Amino acid sequence: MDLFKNILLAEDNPKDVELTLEALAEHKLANDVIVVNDGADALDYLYRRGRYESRSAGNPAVILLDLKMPKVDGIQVLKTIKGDERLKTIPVVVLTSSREEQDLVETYRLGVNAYVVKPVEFQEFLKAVSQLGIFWALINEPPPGTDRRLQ
Amino acid sequence: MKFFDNKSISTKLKLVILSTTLLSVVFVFAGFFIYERITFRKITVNDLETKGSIIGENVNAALAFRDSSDAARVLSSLRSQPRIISAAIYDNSGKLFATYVRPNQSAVFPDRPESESVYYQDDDLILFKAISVNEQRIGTIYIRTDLLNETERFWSYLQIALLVLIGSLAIAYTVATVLERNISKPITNLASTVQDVSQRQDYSIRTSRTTNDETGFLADAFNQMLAQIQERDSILQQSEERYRNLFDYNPLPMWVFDAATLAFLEVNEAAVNHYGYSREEFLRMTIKDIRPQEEVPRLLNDIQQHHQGHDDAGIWKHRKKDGTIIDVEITSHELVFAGTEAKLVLANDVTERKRAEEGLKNAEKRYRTTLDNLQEGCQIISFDYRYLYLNDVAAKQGRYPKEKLLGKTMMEIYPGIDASPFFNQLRRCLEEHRSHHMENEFAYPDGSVGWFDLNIEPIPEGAFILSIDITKEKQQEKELKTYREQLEELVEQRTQQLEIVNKELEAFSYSVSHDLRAPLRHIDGFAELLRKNAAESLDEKGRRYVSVISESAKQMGTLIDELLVFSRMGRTEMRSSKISTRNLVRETISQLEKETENRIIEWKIGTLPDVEADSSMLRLVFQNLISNAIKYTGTRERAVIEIDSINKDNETVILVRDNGVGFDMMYKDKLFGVFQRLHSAAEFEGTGIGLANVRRIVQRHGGIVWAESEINKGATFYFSIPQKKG
Repeated sequence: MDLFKNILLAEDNPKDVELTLEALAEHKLANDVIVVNDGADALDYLYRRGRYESRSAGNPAVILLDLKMPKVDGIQVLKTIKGDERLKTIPVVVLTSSREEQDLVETYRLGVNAYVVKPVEFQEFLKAVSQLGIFWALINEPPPGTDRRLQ
Repeated sequence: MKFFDNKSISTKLKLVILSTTLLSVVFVFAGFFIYERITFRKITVNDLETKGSIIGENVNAALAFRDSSDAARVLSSLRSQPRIISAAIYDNSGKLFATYVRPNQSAVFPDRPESESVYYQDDDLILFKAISVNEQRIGTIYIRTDLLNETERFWSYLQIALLVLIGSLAIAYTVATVLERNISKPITNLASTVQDVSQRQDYSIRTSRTTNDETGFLADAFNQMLAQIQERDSILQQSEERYRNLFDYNPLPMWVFDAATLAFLEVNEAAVNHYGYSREEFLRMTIKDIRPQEEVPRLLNDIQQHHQGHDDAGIWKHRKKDGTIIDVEITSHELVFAGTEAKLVLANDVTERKRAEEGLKNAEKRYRTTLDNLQEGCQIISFDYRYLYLNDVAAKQGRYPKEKLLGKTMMEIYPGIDASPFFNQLRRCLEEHRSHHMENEFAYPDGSVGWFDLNIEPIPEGAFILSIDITKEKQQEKELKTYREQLEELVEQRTQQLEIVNKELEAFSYSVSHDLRAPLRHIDGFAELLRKNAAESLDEKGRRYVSVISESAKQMGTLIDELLVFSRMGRTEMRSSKISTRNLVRETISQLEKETENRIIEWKIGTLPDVEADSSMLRLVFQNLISNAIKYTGTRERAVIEIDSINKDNETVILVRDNGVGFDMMYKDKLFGVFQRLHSAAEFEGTGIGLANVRRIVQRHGGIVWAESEINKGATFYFSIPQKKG
């Protein structure tokens, strides 16, 4: 029996969301993905407030975080997560188009667990995202307090 | 006594002892002899008187009876007394009555007897004695005896005396010899030391002290005296040497000449060096010989006047051995030199000085002319601020004719000048003799202003002012300053603008990186999904379109990536470290494995050094150059790619050579431009950014990049990296 874990995908671009979900679906991981469209939403989910007030307790197994988002950007979200005792154990993978060094430096400084540049080529993109999903949602043993469900 | 005086002490001592002994013995013996003789004679007289008495008794009867034969018999008994020469008896009438004569001897008897007496006659003792009976004189007896006994005694005494004398002298001589050893030897030593000292003039000799008596003290005292003499002698010698040195090594020529013959008696080294004559030559000459002919009468006249003592004899002309005539200032002094009346002369060559004095006059004239014609203003101001001298330029600067200024004070010409900073400096120069350099703004009476560069120098007459009109320069300087300030402002503005642009560029490239790639990804992504999900509904053409869409999206993605890298290469900080280019090349080749699949490539890797560079940038350079080499040899069956280095003094040149298609050198300038391509995309794929990147990186390292090629004959790309020394 596999123990499925939640993936939180913070991505404002619906096309990217679609492509990402497509990639995850290849490995039947898409059902467990919670999609938020900006940083504010992401934080709401994590802190169980706003429209996520009533969600069951537990943290996602991994957060796939885009950097460039409206309202609250990815860097800010990362900063908040890594600055909070309750959230800092959640693995955060930055999934972004930016290859800029300043972003790399800043996110690693804040304690990001991985940094993945979205390849332009779809095949490559597919490969990268599915590998991420498999690793973090299936292979990696998440920290205690992670939401697990039997399926 | 002269004879005695010349004898040595030991001889004297011996003579004294021997003569004293001799005299003592002689005196003793003489006394003894005289005493002996007196005693002997007394005894002889007594003896004779006794004999006479005895005979007188014995002849009483014969006389009384006038028996002369009996008397003669009595007398003949004297035969036992060999010393008695003759004897006779006279009767009371004085007639010869009986006689006796020593055998074998004749005798003459006195005719008449004498009164009773004893006396010496002709070395004989004669006795007359009366013969009495009852105090009635009946006759006289006469006896004559020689003194042969006495003479014998004398001779034997003399013999003894001589023996004693010889013995005494022998002893005395021995004693004298011993004494000499103790007394005269030390004195002799002393004497020989003295002789040594006086002959050799060596005061370091010391006599030895052998005895502890007065001679010993004498030796000590003598040694002390010698030590003192030695000390004084050395002081004297040093002193003499000092004065000798003063003469010998005096830098000025010196000599001593005979006042009478004028011959040189002594010259010092400076004279020898200066005049060119050797010392021997000098000493064969007189002082006339170092004079030019025409000076000799003056010299003789001067000597005749006989200067006493110290004398400054003035300036003379002398002739050196080589004939050069020099002017010499002579100082002389009389002295007695080795017993001769002489003069000590000090000669100071003043030829140069005289020449200089003459030169000075000319120079003064020259300087005045120079000052007059100088392009700078020159003025001499007296201690009461009067113009003593001005040249034309100074007058022009002052805007008054020279004649109006000369003799006037500055305050008369420029009222109020005494309140200016310039005047303050001039006053300090005049009062404290300080020179000063200043730039002065001078206000003319008409209100205009001029700038002057002033040098104020103290001189004996007052102050010398050198003035240069710098009014123009000042104006230019002012303008220049304004320009510079404007320029600085401009640069600052531009810098700010540039910074803003740079920031915008950063934001732009960030935006490109993030936003431009997203749509491309979507295009490719959805094209892919389309192909996958709607494959059946698309015909061949449709499928081709979808794949063209994908291709184009990918190509654009690559383009954007490379463009970003290019832009980043210009902006990111360089992190230099020591890098092994050899390792870097190996890594790069293995990273390009994908591109070399199914290819035959011969790699020729030469000696590659370590360089000081940014590792990731340099990696990019190799990636570009090597992948180009692989790409452009794609048409070759067998590719040869050579990577090597050339070590130069302060840079390393690395080359990448291939045997590929090459390029036309006509277009070599386009090679390293952005988006510049020498081949079509159909021939060789590419973005046209790779070499631009290479150039940008190499330039950032301070090096240059260039290439050589010929179409179809391969290409060689070079780049240089400067190397820090040490």
